[in-house]
Amino acid sequence: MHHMRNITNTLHNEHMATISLLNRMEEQVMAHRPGNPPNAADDEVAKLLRDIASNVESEISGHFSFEEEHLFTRLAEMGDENIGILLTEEHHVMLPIGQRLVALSKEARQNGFTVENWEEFRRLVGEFIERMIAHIQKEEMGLLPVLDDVIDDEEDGQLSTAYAMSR
Amino acid sequence: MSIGPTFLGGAQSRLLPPSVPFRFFIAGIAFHILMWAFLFYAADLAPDFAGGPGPALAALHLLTLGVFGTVAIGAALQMLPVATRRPMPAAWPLRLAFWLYVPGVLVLVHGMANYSPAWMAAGGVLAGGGLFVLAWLLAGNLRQASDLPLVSAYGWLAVSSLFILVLLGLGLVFDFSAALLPDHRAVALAHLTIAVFGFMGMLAIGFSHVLVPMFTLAAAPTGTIGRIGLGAWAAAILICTAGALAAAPWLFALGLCLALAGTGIYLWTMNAIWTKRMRKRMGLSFLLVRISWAVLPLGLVLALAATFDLLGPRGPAIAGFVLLWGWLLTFLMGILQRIMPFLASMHAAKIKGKPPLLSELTAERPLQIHAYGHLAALVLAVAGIAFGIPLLIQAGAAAGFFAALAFAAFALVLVRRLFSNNEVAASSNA
Repeated sequence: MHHMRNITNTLHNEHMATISLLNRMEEQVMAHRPGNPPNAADDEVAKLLRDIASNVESEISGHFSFEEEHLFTRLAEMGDENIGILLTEEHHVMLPIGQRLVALSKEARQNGFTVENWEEFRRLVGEFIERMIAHIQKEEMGLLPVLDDVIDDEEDGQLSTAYAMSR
Repeated sequence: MSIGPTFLGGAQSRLLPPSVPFRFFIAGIAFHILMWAFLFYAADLAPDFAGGPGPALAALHLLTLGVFGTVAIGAALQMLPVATRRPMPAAWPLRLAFWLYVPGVLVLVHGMANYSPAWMAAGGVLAGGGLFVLAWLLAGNLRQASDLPLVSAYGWLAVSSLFILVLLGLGLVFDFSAALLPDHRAVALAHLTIAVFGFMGMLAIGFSHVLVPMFTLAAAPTGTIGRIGLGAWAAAILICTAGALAAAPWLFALGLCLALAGTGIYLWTMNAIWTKRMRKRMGLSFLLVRISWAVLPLGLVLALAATFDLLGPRGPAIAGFVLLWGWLLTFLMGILQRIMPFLASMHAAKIKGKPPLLSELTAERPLQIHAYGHLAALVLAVAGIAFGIPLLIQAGAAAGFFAALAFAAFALVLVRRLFSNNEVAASSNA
């Protein structure tokens, strides 16, 4: 999928990276049923836990904040505030789930998974994947094409710089 | 083509009350059960069926009018206003059309099954009246859509076909009692052609260009290739219909070749979407959709062979079954199990700020039973038709019947969970 602006391509690439992480999370959850937690020291699992922590803490929360501060406000100025309201509501639902997953990932990296926290991890991963996929679906099919239409070259440069500075 | 902010922001304000699309879906699901039961009953007649009243014609119309008509219209009434960003003017004409259409189909099918021209005429007028109202409303919505040229063009082909197929259908029904038509069989073949390729086919292919990218997270198709595919299909419908009316097999075959060209472009487009999709795990629903894509060219090749009598006397029944049951029904059931939860989630109230998950509204097990039962039904029934073994057709119809019951269970669970969610939301938000 190719977008017309640098900022929309950047957001799209982050969606791709997030979906790749979600696919890896899903694989682990499918491979280890409740009551059968994976070994958190296993290379693949340890890398996944590290990536969850770094991705949710910086990438996803930074991506959400940038959208809310720079993009939804821009669309609201144009009179289309519904998009921003809907997507911001979804951010507010997903972020606490992501933050709890980060805490569980850090705990598992230090002490391994217990049956109890693996159960909670599995449940939250399922919910996080489902909500995140639906959210990315809306942004890819709705938000990014709108931004491609309304942002000009100059504004694209400003937004790309602002995004780079915020990371 | 961009569907832009279609599913964002104002989309919910363009949604009809859930009772409107869901009543069409529930009716379609009930007709689905009834259709397999009728096919079981008509198994003796199915292998050599070549038109004319009786239980086989009734089973065919339970599928086309009963299942395809209700589900396609329910989906179009809801998805079209969201996709075109133009709301329907009001819900009451849709309810009126439903109460004309569904009883009309039941009366018509009763007349067909019992060789009764009077019942067929009464049912035809009722169902045709309902379809005219619906086609008029859909046409009104399409007239206002300017930013979805490809999907709108497919929509126009479907709606124009709907008007013509209703007129031809009414002509056929009244011909049983008044002998109005010079060649009943030719008009019947034209009616079938317009129904399969023109109305249902164009809706299925048109909506694929919106729904498949949406569900798979892929770019929607753009450019000239889509317009060439559309042109091939439009010419195919026109030439096949002319070939049917003129009783000219070569003309009909030329139309089928154009349909094959349109199919090639359609499948090429769908394959491009599929291979570039961001979401990898697409589940059973897309297994059904992909099987239906594989069956479409097979059905057209069989129809081509049947046109020149290369498949023997059962050729038309084999080709018809593969196209109607194998392609359209399989596609429709695959998409319906995606659309229903999607629409339900858009009507679901939030509990403590959180909307329910699609998985919380959906029961997976009935869908698994449906998918395997449906595929078994197709294989058994087509083998029964091809080899002239009614017992195999009955085995297929029985598998399809239980698959249809499983699908009904999925739908009932979905509706019950939606109501239950909204009741909890109302009490917790009060």
